[in-house]
Amino acid sequence: MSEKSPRAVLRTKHHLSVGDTVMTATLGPRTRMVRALLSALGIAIGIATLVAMWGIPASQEAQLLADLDAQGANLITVYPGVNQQDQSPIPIPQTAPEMVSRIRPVRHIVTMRDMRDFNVFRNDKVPASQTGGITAAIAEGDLLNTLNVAMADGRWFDKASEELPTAVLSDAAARRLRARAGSAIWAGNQWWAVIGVLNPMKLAQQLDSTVFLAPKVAAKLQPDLPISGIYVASAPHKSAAVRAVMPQTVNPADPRGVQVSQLSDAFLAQELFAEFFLILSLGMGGVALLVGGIGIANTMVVAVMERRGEVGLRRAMGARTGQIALQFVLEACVIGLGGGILGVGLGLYIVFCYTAVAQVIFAVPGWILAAGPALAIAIGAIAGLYPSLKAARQSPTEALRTV
Amino acid sequence: MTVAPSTAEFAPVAHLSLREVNKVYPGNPPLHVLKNVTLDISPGEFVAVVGPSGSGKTTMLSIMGTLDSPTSGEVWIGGVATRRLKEMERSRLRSDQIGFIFQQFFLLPTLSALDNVATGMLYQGISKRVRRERARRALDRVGLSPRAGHRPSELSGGEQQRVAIARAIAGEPAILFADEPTGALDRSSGRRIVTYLRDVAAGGTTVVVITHDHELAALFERRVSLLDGAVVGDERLAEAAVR
Ligand SMILES: Nc1ncnc2c1ncn2[C@@H]1O[C@H](COP(=O)(O)OP(=O)(O)O)[C@@H](O)[C@H]1O
Ligand SMILES: [Mg+2]
Repeated sequence: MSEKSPRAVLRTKHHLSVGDTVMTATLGPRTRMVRALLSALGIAIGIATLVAMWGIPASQEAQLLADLDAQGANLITVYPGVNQQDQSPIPIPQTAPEMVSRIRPVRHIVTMRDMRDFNVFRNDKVPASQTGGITAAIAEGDLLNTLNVAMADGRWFDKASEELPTAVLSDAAARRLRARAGSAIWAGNQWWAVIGVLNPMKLAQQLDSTVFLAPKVAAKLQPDLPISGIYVASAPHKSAAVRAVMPQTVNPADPRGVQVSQLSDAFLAQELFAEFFLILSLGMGGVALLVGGIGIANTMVVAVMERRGEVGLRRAMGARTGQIALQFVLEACVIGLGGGILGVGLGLYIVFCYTAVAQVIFAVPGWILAAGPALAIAIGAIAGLYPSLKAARQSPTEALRTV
Repeated sequence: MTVAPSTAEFAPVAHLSLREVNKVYPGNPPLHVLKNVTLDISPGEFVAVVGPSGSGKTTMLSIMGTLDSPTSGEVWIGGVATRRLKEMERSRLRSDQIGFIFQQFFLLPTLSALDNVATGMLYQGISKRVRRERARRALDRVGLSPRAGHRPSELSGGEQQRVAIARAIAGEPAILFADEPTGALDRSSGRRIVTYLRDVAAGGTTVVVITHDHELAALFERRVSLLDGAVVGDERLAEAAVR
């Protein structure tokens, strides 16, 4: 038996075990399952939106990275630089492709020359004003291997066809011209036989509405075209080294007049797009979460009113005000958690459906599996705070005076 | 009777004493609900509080049970002056020393009878295993062992109140307060409830019961009458009539 004075005993607290706390906090939702589920729905939709909007760009990104991996080497692009004083382009020397191909880790190279004032049409009946945004270009070198693209239809130029008025179309150009291998297109006031169509060029989307003309024929029509770009595929993991020597190699006289970029740069542009998407979805998800929070608060206000008698009884049984407040706050958290788990599940399902349709890798950042429910719990806690304090603050006699 | 570890920190049975207790509800005009109530109840007494509706019975019980504070005067429970206790200390006092029974039972509808009884000791710092063990014993004392797994909706009113009694006594309080425990029950069920409460008192617990029913009031050792907030009668009934 203790020697403590009664007052000293009264000043020490009894604590609920974790298990008892959980059982007490889940009593309400377990009693009114449907109501708890309905009030968790808003949170679930909000969390699902966030998961989906994080997961979809992440999946796109994962696919892009996988494509990069599949290529086995990083792609480096060389463009003409711009004179800082008068903004005029600094041409790439015509010797550059030859010099670049001598860099040892360079595996594949293709040089682009855009045709000048060369309109491309489906046939000779289309008015000249409707150019359709299609570029004609000469691709010299190994485009297929450099850009890791395959033919969707027909074939690339060979020794015979490069001497004839033939053309290979990129994916978008083919769709816009409604042409395929075997058709003909009208470009630069003459007919060209289409001998092939490329698959979409994931690694060089800027080339996707280009018509590639037979190099020998086109070069005869427009000799001495400036180089509009050089695409270089380096050996695996050597792209940084190749990139470092690129300006010197391309233009030894004016290395700073060369613009060298890597796919990762294009990547950033895509991330920017993803960021915009993210902000939009954050807004949408935020609104859903706000509405969800209000739903939980509403449920808790009703629950606290309905369960006044229970509150009074618990106070009579010796529950402290803090324990009553905690019970209801945790109850709101439980509803929030339910919504969070539901939302993560729903969000993952949406991302899964997207990846199945878009044929990209399913990739959702792992932290979101924890962050979703955590956010939902936090919202539940905030929503439940006011009703819980209200429940705890009423006097026991007031709470017990219920019929 | 085994003594709970938590209550062992106190004197096992408590003397209950009211000194010049007044309760005034503010308002226009202010309501003087309890007027200079002075009362001593010894450990193990079995007391009925009678009086017409609105005479202040519930208010007095709440103040004795530390659910409410007097406007003036003092309530002593087992040598502790309760008026200046902090809310937290009153909670501890209630959890360890006091049991309550109400007219409305206040059973949790989704819990079994056994779990309802075990919940009565939730705030007493007793492990779940021990709570269930004691709950089983308490249910046995009110003759409801066979109904341990039933929910309140599957029990009659009298049985529900017996579950509430079990819940109140399972934690082995020193004092048990009951506010019209038979108010919602028929005469024979009510009589049975009072018999159980008398057994509890016989076990050493102080039992204070508010009742309307004069016939039931005759089953107590002592009868305190309230009228307009004042004690107008305090009779000890013949020992022979009780036991
Ligand atoms: N919180 C309160 N505020 C104001 N008046 C109250 C309050 N509680 C009880 N009363 C009044 O006090 C009087 C006594 O009530 P109560 O103790 O419940 O009586 P009884 O239990 O004997 O019927 C009644 O007139 C009642 O209306
Ligand atoms: Mg009353």
